[in-house]
Amino acid sequence: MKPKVLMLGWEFPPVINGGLGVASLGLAQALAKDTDLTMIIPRSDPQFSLPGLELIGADSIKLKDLFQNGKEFESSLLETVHLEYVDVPLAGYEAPTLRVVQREVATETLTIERQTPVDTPVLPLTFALDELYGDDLMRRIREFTTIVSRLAMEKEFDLIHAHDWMTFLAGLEIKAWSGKPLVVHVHSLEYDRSGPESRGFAWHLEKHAFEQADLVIPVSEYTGKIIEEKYEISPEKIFPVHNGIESIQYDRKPRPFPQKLVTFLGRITEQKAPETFLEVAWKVMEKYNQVRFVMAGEGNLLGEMMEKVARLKLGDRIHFTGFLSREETRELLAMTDVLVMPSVSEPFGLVALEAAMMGVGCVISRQSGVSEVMPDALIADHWDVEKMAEYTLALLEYPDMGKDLIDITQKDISKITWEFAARNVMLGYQKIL
Amino acid sequence: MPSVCLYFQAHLPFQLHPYSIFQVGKHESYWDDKRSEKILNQVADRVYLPTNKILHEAIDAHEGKFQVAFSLSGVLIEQLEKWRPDILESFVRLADTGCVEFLSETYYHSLSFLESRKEFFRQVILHRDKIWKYFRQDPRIFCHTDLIYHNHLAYFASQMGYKGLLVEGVERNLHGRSPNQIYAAAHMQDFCLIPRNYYLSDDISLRFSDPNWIHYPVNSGTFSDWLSRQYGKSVHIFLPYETFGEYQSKESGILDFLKALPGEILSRENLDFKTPGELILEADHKSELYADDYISWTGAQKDLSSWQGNELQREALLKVFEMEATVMEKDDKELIHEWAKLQEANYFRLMATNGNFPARSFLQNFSSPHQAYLHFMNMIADFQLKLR
Repeated sequence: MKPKVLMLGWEFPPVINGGLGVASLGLAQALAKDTDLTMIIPRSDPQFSLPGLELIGADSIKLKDLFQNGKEFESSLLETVHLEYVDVPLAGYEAPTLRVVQREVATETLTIERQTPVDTPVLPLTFALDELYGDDLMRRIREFTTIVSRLAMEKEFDLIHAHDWMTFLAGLEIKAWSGKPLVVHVHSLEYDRSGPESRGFAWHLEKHAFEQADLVIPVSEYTGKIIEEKYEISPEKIFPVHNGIESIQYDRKPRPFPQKLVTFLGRITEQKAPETFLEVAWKVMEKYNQVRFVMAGEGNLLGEMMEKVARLKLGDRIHFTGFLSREETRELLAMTDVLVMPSVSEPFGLVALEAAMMGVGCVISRQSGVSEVMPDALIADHWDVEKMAEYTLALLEYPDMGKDLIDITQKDISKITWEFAARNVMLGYQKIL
Repeated sequence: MPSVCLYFQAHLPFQLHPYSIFQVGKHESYWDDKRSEKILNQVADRVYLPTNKILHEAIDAHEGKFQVAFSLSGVLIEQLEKWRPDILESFVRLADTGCVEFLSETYYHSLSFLESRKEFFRQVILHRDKIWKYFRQDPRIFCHTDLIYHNHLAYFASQMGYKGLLVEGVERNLHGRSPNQIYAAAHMQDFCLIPRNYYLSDDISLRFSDPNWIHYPVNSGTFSDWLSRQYGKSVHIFLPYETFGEYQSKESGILDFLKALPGEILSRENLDFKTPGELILEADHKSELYADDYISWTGAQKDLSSWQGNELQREALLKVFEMEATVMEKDDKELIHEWAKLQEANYFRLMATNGNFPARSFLQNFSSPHQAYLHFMNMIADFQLKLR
């Protein structure tokens, strides 16, 4: 008997903001073979369907149908979680973040009681929009929760599998009335996005969900450790599963300029340590002349990084791109010689895996999940600028050594597939079913 | 009896193309000719064509009593040659009336004076040749890009044979003196500075259609009254030519205002028109106007901060001029022209983060100062590779 899985996702093609969308797709595709999988996401594209997977976009649900079936909650979590906007940007998403207003919700014990809903809410559907985050993220999460938890009443399932904190509230809600086990999948943590000291709404929601969940699947052992130590979750229910990757067929491209290219690719935010990249660049340029650097991506630190570069009059050597499409990202990697990923804390770090697959030499932060699956890449602690510069120089100066390293790394990662990841997830399911 | 001195600065930059990292080394064009042509056509039809016509008719009607001064950037003339020879022709016809004085500026409407006197000199000569070619005038008065001025500029301009210069009438330099008279440059009794009366000038170029302005709506009669009540020998109204139809839309009535203005002014007993060249011939007993720091007519600060106010702008300009010696060595006319085009002042203003980002869409090539820097530096990197 295949287990019936109700999966809740947030980013999903064609709406992708970062690694979450890619991973949700890869995993769902692979899991669809071994499970009876229903996936609910904020917005689905009719042109995008997958064999063996029932994909439901919350935007396609008619609210009337949803509330006419007679079944009704006796209570709802949403009634006790009161939220208000504060105008600090939510790290990583450039949206206002939220704090829990009712203090008792934010305490260590965090008891969220379910109460009888006053009225059946009739909400406007906003999921037709492309932007999943943005200013009213919390409203979207609430709508998603309301719609999805009602929708789930009509579905048969053995367990709930929720990806990242945006879907945790819905997962908790469904678990509360259905009694089915809840699996929470962690692609990203508030601890990483906003720093170790942050205690915002997302952090509390994450902690609460980890406590209530039957199984927590982080995308790396590194993230599992943070969940255990910083969120104080029992290691027994933490079950790390590395992401997979689809094989990339993309030929190397000649650079249009004679210099070698060292690339940073990711959101320009604290978490990704763009400033470290610049420091590495300066150190490398002192010793190696024939090189350009590119900081690709956008984020709240982009302007500051440009000003730093301009102050040192290096704008003709260190380039920026702003937002890049997926195709452009590939194009950039195809002409890159060295990828530097200096992230302060990176649950996984898909970009390094993609780069390695495309034959790019990688210098990566030890504080990342991907370093667990690429042990033969050049790995340095995120604060060790000296070492990262040294490694970058080595790859630039000794291309033969770089090639050997790439060959070994490509062997290391050849077994990193979504099928492998799905098998591990199935093992996790077995623990709780 | 105050004389009214009307001067128009006509200039349109070539429009830049976005230039990505993928193009660095490919030596593709930095300029979007299609967009440049489109914008030129738009401004030509809204501004140059109707306004030239109004001026020409006014000159004819007042039989030599109505006179104006112009500067046309080389960059604008080049675009007119390419896409709108009819407009160029109408400027030539204006010149033929004998009532229009053309002034000198840098060909590329550039910031070259800030970085290289040699290049500045080259561009002024280029522009002079262009003006001679079309208008058969050898200007005696210089007008720098957006009235950027420093004591050194006066000295340099006088060395080049100029007799006077237009400047912004900034209080911190006037020290309580009136802008309605001619000044001498610092320690240069023979070199004249003509300060812009920015209150009255801005009434037209900035406030004309502002409904919150206490004098809104102003008509040319009222404005002429204000002029006739001015103290001093001459009132200097200097405007971007694009005021007429772009900065102030046709719907605001700006063209009708201009149409009626010469008649209104000449009907006031104590007013007449003079060009800058005539004014400096009459000037005597001039007091000196110092500018130890740069001044300009742009922004609330009226200094260089619109173009050189932040690190992005400073690096960008520096990087352009770092290439000067190599570019000149190549001795390739096309290459030098391309390099000089990159010096156009507005490109640096696009990188302004102090609120002086150009307000009009026809001057905006990029969505933000940082975007402008990003693309511009890619062009610089590409150009450097051209020189290898």
